[in-house]
Amino acid sequence: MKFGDKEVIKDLSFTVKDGEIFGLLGSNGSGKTTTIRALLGLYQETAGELLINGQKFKPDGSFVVGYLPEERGLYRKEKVLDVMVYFGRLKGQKNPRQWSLEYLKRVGLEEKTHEKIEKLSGGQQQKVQLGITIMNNPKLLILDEPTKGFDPVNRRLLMDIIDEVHRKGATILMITHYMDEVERLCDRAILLKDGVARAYGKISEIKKEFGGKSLDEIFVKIYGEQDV
Amino acid sequence: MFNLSTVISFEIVRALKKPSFWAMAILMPLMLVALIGISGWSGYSSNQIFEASGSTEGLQVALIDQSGLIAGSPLGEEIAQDIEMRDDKETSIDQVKNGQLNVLYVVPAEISAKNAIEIYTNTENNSLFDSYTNNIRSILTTAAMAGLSENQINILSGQINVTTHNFIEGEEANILGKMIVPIIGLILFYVLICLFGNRLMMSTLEEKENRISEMILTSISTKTLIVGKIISLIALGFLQVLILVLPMAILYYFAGNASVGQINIGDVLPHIVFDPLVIIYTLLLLIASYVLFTGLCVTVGVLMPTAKEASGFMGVLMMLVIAPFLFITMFMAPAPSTVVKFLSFFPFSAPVALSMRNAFGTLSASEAIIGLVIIIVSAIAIIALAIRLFRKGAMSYDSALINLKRLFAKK
Repeated sequence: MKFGDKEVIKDLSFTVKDGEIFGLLGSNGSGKTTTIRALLGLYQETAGELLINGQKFKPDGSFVVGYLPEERGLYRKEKVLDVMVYFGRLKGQKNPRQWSLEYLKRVGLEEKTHEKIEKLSGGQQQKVQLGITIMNNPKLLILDEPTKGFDPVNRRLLMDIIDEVHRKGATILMITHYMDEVERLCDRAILLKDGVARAYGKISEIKKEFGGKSLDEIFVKIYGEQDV
Repeated sequence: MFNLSTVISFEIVRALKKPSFWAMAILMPLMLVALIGISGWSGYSSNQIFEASGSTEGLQVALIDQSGLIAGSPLGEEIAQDIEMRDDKETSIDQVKNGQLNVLYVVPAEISAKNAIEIYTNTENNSLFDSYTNNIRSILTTAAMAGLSENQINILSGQINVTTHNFIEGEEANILGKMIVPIIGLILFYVLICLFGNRLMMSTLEEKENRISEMILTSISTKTLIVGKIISLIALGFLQVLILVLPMAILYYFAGNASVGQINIGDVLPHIVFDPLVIIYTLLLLIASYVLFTGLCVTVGVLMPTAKEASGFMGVLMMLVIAPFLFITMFMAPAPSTVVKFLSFFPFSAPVALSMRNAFGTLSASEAIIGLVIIIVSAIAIIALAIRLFRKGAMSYDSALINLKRLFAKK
């Protein structure tokens, strides 16, 4: 994958298995988000193939994907419920209004239902965005730093919601900088540096490969303390 | 086009929910009505003021007629009923100075450009000077015309009515009446681009500025999003047209006796020519032009990272669109010049150029069809370009024009 003359992803090849939670790890600028964007057709890959269920991704509802991007943003001038219902309809949710009201209650935002998005705090907007991402019961859930900026209580709440989606059978591809989350949740992971895979496989296998160190220690070892 | 109706309804409903939409939508016809009202009222009001101020009723007015024209006229006695005829100029001037007399007219022995008619007055209202001038002119004209026949008086006073009968191919043609429908189409197009230009541009900038592109483009295709936005904007545009046209239709049916300034609407309306072909062409031209303009604005919104930068670019585009107005005298000539032909077939200027030529009656059938086809093809091409640009440039949150090499890359 190239941007102009700069090659940002090199010889990368990995597979995410059906029903697993997969961690896509790496420091800032290592190519994680670029890989996901190319997978979802937001970037045009310059070489190779990125396939979901054996096909290039098309947002036509044929394979239900939920994506929480790194760039957070919603229609700022619209009301929370209106935005959720709109995305719900686009994603094929049969009763988006009812689903949204229940979700907002669960994440403690029922009083914000008729507020404009711009009136919500960053964390509250993030909860709304996660709701939109999971509201169509996705078969593949892609999360780019889902808990970034959350306090521990809300982080736990969001991870519970994600875990629930996984238990319903969704495959989860997660980008995160929290290694404890990866160790606790992920079945397998890949660690990128400068667009190249430096570690790939089951969490236990990766640890074994690096002499039984924790993922935190492995991360530091690969990048070097000065880079982290 | 999966989910197209969802995008259209979302875009329309949220626009209709905004007070700013209704403020703009209603403000324009209100402004038009207000302008017409002010124009009519000011005409009426000016007449009233003129009549009131020009009247010498209740004023002490005197006239010294050194020419003998008024005194010798058969109407002299009638004039003298309202105005006191005098001989002593100095005493009369003193009386004006001390307020015993309001107005004094002094007509010289020889009336010519060299010898001025003098008016002495003591008013503080400057606007009355013209009224008094007109008053003495009227008195002198009345005196001079006394004894002439009614026809002679009408000719000399300019009370002549002229009716022109113009025949084209053996049939009487109403050129002015034929201009009205195309001009209404042109006005509607101009109002639409003025009111909606910014909204159209912002419709695609919003996704970029608010960083929604990733969320939305993994939910629906770029084509569905852009086409949905364009259709919703066209629907909103035509709602605006309806809001504008409705008062005109009401005026047409119920305001037959209303007048704008000196023009009686009831006299004008029957002369408007409603030729079905002209109406259909004007309508098609309006729709195609608005779709082309919508595509252009959407493309600018896609190309630019922020509204501020897009606004500058829009200014240049608007210049291209309204360029034909700068050459209006060329457009009025019966034979179209090269500039007129170029502007008629250049996609961005064609909407206004073709409308103007349609109004002035200088557009041949073949040119009308070719021009319309150019606009339709350009509109389709520009929308296809907007879709491609949005797909490729949606992630360019911070950079301006996206890389052309990337844009036309196969992969």
